[in-house]
Amino acid sequence: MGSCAQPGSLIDFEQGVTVITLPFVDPATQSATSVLGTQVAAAFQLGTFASLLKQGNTKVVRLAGTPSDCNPESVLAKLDQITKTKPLDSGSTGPRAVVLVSGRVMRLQDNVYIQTRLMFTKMPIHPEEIRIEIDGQRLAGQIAKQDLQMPLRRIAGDALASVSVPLSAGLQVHATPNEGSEVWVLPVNVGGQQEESFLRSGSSYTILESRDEWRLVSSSSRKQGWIKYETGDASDPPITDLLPEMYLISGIAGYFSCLRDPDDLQQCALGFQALNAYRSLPAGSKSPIAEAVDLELDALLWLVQSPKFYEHAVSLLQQASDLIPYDADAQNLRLIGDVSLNGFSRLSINQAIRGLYTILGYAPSNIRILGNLWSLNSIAHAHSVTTVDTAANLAALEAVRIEGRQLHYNNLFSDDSSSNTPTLQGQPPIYDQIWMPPANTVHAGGTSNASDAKSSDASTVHTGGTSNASDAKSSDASDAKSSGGSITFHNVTRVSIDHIYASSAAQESRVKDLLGKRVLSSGTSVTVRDLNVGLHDFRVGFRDGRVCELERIYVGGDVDWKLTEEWRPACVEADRSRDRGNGKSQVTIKINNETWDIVTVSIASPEGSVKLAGGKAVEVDMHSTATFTDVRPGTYNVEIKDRFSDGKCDVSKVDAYDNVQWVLTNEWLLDCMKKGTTEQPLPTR
Amino acid sequence: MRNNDAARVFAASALKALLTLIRFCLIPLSCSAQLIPCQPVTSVTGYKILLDELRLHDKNLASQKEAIMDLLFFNMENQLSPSWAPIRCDQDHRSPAGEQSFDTNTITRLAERDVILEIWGDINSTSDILLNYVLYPVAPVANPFIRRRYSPADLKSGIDVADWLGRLDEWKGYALLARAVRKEKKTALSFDDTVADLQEASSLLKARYGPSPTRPESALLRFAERTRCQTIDAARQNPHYTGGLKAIPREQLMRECKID
Repeated sequence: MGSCAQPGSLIDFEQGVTVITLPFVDPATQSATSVLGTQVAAAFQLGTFASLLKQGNTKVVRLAGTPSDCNPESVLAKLDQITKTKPLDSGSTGPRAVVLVSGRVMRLQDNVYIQTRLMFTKMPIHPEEIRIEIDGQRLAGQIAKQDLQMPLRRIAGDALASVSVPLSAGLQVHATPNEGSEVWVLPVNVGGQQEESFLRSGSSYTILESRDEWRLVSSSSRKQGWIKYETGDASDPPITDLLPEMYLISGIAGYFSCLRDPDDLQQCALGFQALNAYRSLPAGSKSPIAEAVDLELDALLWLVQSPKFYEHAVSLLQQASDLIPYDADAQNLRLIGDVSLNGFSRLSINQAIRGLYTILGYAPSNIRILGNLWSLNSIAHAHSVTTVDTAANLAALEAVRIEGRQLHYNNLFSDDSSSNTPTLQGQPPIYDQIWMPPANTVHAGGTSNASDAKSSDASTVHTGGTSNASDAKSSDASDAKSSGGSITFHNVTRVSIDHIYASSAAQESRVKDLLGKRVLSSGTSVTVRDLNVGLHDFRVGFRDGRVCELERIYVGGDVDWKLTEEWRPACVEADRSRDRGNGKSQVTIKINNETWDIVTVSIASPEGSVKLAGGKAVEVDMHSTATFTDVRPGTYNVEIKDRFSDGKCDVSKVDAYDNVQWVLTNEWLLDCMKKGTTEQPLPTR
Repeated sequence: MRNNDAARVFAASALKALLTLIRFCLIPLSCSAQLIPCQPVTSVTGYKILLDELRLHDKNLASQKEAIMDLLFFNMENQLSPSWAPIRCDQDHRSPAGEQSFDTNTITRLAERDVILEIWGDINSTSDILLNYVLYPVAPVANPFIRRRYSPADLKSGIDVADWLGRLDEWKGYALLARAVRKEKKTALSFDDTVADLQEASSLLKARYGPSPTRPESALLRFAERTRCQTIDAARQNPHYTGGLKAIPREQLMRECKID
């Protein structure tokens, strides 16, 4: 009875949650069932049962068998089959769920090492996810993992038995829920039976009914009775100190119990409490992935409780995704949680789409991410509220095949009543509110007021004079409907601005340089008139190569933008050769080595996209010249190394917009190598 | 003065040539300490990780050598899915002397047999542990060797060291990175697996290296990121690939990967 080969003999899914422990695999016994591994499984069974008494509606089963029979994947597959074929009793409501506890164990000298694996799922197997409806589209996100490897535990000597035996003795069963009634001890199995039977047979304890602090329980021997559980902090059995994953098992069981009836606040509070208890463990006792999943389950419970808890839930999802930055599902769940909470007011729809594409780069086969991209691109496309080429994006998504199959995005996240997946209503995205700037003046990183800015010497540019006005006005996009907007840029940075490229948000390809041949020097302003009313993107090109972007700026009436020094560091370092380069498409860099030593020189653009000499360090003999030809005009970082020592000098952001000849002298090189790095220009000739 | 310069140039050239010969094991003497073969490599299938004998230099720890090896291997098996094949080579007493124990032929041959990673090292004391990793498939395009010195605090005994090694997971980052490179070379259209492995490897290694990685560590992280970007780009351009990477807009890739 209760073998892994036939798990259905002990598991009937009448309870909401079934926790199943499998014999832990002991490498020392190879393919045979391990006594030690079975004892660990029994300890988990007993400890979990004691922990879950307060939650109720749970069954705790230990299955027995050989390692090959008790492979967790195959046990889960058998259980999945059972739940697919066996209908729920008419009285059962809510999801059925399984927590499968397995792992590996090793005795080493006087210690036992235990590595636990927890798998959990609704039955039939279905991931834990949420779906969010927003603007007629659905977004979906699932938790990072439902198969967790827990950290290795070392348990000294016979500690397992020393806590298991008193615990089993303490599980006193009463004939009625009354402390004065007849008492016996629950028949628990911690290895005290004859070994053969212990290894061959499983066992189960079921919590059938709850009445205040009393629980009606039965064991697989069919004997029933009432157990009164401890309340308060002392209610967790001491075995949880040895095997803290029991907190997480309780948390997961509590999560599923709460999902069955989210309105049962007392039940849900137990779930929250257990999840929180696991997170409160010291850092070394929990793995980042398990902690992240714990946070995600917590968040999902808050999300299903009420929209008023969205903010807290999203902060939990944020914490989870920070713990496992590589995990695409965690990042996706955080992102759609954010969208559900904030509409597109914190993350713009552009940012959300870009964020999802980044995540897609971690997990290209993730159907939820692909589906979410489809939904967001569709929303953006319908409202014309983004500079992203949504039509091209949607076409590309449509062409994707996963395992050879086309994705039918419209049905991807449709209702599936058997999954019990909560579908939440996201905050309505009110685009007008999102894109309109505050009433009068907006500063890009600036702090001063508009009248200050306007007092500078502002010149005026009419867009009709610098570009094809009919083109600009023929926009069919809803975001740039009529002419008449003006925008004034005040350059209060220390650097001149050579270009301000503008495009309407709906027609990104129609880019024009508002400055033309003019230069917006530091301290001056320029007003651009006759812009179409609506959303525009601006790219501001500074003389030092930095390019700053202002995305989705609403132009209507008169708008002021003050470009400040504080704003610039956040901007990207651009390859200026695309914009200009003194008319040259290629330049030559020469390096004269006038030092007493052989040096190696590496030259690359600051962002690393251009590397001269194929990225190799070029050796320059003393009193020799190295020449780099066909160089794209731009700004470069130069690394100079002494060939025979560790001496090194990094020179950052050296302009090479025209042919240049840098001269390395002893004095200069020694000085730079002392500092290691410099922004001082290289001496030229 | 001019003669001195010429002498220096000559000396420099000679030294450079010598270093090249040593690096590529072209001087027999430097490579004569043949590495003891790890026998199961030829018979085991899957992506292999070789665990060599760790050298224990503290005599108080020496008695715990077996326990340390047992636990480290137990940990590796725990953390790996069945597609991996961790192999203990300590029973063959395989213990490389250093990078010079690996000539290019050996590296190529083992990489072709799906040997992904090899680990060996020295335990000098409870607070000074040196581990070396060879990422075989990486060799043709980047430095396959990485050397890490760990200074764990509060370890008192051999069993504490065993415990500490039992929780180590940094090797998994190297294994994922190396497997990604191997898979990309070996398996057609494995772009999805490659980028997922590289992403996880990068995150894990960044977390372990902390805010100030050494130069070789930074180089490895850059290599992982560059390879990931190149893989996405290659997937987008491959006419036979139809997976999710194809949907990533070029502008996004250019923005994130700085691809021209």
